[in-house]
Amino acid sequence: MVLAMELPEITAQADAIVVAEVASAASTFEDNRQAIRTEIQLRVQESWKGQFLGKSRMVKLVQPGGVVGDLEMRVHGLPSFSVGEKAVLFLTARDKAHAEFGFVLTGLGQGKRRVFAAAGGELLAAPSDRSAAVLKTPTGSYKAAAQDVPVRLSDLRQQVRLLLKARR
Amino acid sequence: MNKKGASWARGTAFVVALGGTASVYPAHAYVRTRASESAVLLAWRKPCINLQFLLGSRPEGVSEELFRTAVGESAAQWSSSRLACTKMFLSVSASPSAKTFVDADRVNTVQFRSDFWGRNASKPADVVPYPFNALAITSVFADRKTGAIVDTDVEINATGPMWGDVVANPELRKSSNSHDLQNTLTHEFGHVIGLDHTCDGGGQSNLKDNAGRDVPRCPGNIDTQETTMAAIVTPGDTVRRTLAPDDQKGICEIYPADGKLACSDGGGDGGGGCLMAKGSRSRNGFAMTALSTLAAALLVWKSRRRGASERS
Repeated sequence: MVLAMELPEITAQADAIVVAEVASAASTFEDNRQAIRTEIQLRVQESWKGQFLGKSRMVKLVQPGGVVGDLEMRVHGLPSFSVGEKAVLFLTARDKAHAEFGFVLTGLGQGKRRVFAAAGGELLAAPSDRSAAVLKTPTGSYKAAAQDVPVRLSDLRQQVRLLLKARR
Repeated sequence: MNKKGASWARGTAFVVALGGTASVYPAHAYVRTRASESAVLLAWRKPCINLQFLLGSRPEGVSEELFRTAVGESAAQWSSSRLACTKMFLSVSASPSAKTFVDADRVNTVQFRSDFWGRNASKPADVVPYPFNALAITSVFADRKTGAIVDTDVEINATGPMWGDVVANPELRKSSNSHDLQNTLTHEFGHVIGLDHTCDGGGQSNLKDNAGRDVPRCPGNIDTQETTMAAIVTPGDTVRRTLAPDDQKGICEIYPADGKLACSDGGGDGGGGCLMAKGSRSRNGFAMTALSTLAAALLVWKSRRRGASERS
């Protein structure tokens, strides 16, 4: 279970924000235990926020869970990654003193916004808008969650850059 | 489907006020956990599961009574003792241990993480932190060929969030950092029995409801938002303490009361919870037979051995 993070918060919390394509994903057992982790290699296409990214265009994302043989470890709330898939990713450095350790997703699944092409070929970010986009607050009232609809990738890029600029 | 008619009416009125453009998610829809990139549905092979909660993992401010009550009540929500339509029974047992590994050891655990929120490891390069805003994480281990769940482990974030009984202490709602323990555990125990989120919290590609429909993006609509298995919540939330009709339908269709699954069936499931008979629970939801006490003692001994070897 995870607390909601809206775009300004997740933009501020992330150490890096990239548009990337999944180059590979491999799962292994952790420390000789019957627990699994998955290492995802990302090919960075755009960098919107770049702390700890380094000069390489490849970035490592690590998350618990995955599949080894017939054993699957499913960590609820974490998204799946497929080779060739493209997404906007909000990333947190695993260890700020060791950039080579790579990243984890910021805010569990909220840190991944799938990128896909609309009918006209325009790139959109975020899942589809099948929801009614309402959110119940602790006081029982309702408000629109306007960020949870697909947006043009170019618009999302602009929003993130404005948020980053406002924080400087 | 939402829990209260009045609440539903309020939400519906709001959606209509927005222009009526939102599609309404069908009532009585639930989402089962699937093996990744597969149609195989995950479920226990026995309808009796034991959850061992680690009393020694409690952070400052969480009393033993609060932990016991929250675990017991949350487990009861998904059990035949409260739902006549299911055979599932989640029993609970206490361990004095402070920590244990999350792995497929066929011991289902519930523990707070106070010192480090994430996957700890002996080598720094292997440490994987969890997001600070994740209140709890449930890991489910399963045989992806057969779909049999073999182990589940629930971790509760105590590195930042404060835990309490928000219903008994409504003043806790004033703090954006206070969360209702029973609310969170009831949601996590839904994962334990094989349910997935009723809305997509981001990036999940394999979420289909029981009718094969894609689930809505979180926060979802007014129906999915009030299910126990909604993925994303706001501080002070208590809606998920009890099951919505969607959640009830889920457990009752996966583990029906008249189903063939039995606690005595073979096929190790890591449960060990079949020692507690339906109706044997005390007022607090914790009754132990002589046999279950013996089993718990063995589990404690095992946990202590494992806990002692884990890096603090």
